[in-house]
Amino acid sequence: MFDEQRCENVSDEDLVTRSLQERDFFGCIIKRYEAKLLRYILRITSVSYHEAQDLLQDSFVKAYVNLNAFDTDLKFSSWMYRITYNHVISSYRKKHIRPEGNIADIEDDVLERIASDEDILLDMEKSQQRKFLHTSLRALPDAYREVLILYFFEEKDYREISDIIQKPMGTVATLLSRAKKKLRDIHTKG
Amino acid sequence: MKESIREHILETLKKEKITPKPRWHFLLKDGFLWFGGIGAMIVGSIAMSVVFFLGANQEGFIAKVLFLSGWREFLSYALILWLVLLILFLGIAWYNIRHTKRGYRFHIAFVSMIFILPFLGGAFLYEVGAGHFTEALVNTYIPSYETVMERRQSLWNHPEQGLLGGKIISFRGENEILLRDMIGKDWTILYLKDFDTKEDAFLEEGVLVRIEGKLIEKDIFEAYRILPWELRGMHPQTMRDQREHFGYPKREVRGEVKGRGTFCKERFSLEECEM
Repeated sequence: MFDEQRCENVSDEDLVTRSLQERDFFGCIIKRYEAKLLRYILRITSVSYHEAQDLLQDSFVKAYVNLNAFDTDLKFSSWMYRITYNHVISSYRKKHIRPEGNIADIEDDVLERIASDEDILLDMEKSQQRKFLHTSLRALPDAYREVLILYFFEEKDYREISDIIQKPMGTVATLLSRAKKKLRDIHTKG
Repeated sequence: MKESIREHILETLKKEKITPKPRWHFLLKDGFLWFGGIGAMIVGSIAMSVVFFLGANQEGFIAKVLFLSGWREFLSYALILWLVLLILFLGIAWYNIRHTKRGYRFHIAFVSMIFILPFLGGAFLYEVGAGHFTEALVNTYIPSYETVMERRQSLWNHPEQGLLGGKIISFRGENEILLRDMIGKDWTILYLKDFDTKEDAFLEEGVLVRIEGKLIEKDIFEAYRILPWELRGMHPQTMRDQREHFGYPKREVRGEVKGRGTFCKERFSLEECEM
């Protein structure tokens, strides 16, 4: 039986190195990221909880197979998000459907983050904010919604978003700026 | 449930004997992308040099204005072909380099080098004659590919339309040249009125020239302008080889003269070609 205490106070990057030598260490990586990534998958897709779990499992298997490709210049979390993001996108492409996002549960802290960044939510009640975001995010083009989710919901910075979606930081900044503008337009039009 | 996901994944890895791909696999993939990208830039530079070469030696305008019809004569297929190849290889270079491990992080200035370097490389290669050499090389393996030289030979073999090319055999006085054209016919060239040579230093016996003018009689041609036969951006050795192939067949076939290699084989017996 693997003693999980062996993973305590070990960085993600060291866990990668250890996982390459001993598979059970990969279990610690799964433990650290499964909740976050499952939530992320549910946010960027419209799949059921069980389908999201399948996507998550496949993403972890892919990550394990490609563990030697991990670039230590990146944060491990960015690399893990990237694999998940790519897997979700490719699975949607195979099914020829658009990943619409299922942002049913929007936590209070997410609302606060958006409200502090964008004044559009200030004049609304929390329930209205949730409803507005739920509707408007679904109406946004994929590229805009993806960066907004990573920025506001997953709390990733520009560099991390750039590493996850593999686009230059300038492009990320542009996408984010346009996405916010689009949100404001939707708000203005009511 | 969370526990079960973790256990399920670890169980799957164990049961299906899934192991991480070796590191060299990724290094090789990245190396292949870099190698392919840089290789495509080099091929792009060569294509660019041919585009420069073709552009510098375009004579389609003369053909169009003087007598030939159709856009084919105005813009050669060859130029379009090389432009397509150039775009294709620059596209491959861009794709490869963007898909290297950190390709997406590269600054736009760095990425623009993918397009700027082949342009500069192409200019350099054109200057040293690589465009000319490449064109001749392609013609060696694909005889149906028409080189600039072949087009020039075809174009400047229309004395009735005022275009004549040939070798200066001798000078007769100050206003007459004895010229042997591409099919071996001797001409008396008169250059009496409004004679224009931008630079007449090249007018020597044995030199190949292009003459714009007017047919006076069946073997007398009045020159308005005499131009060097040599191409711009030429490769010295290739030019020497092409000069050797400069029209030898002893039969008059106007407007269809090509380089000796293709023309002879198409139109004459082996013995005539080997004369």
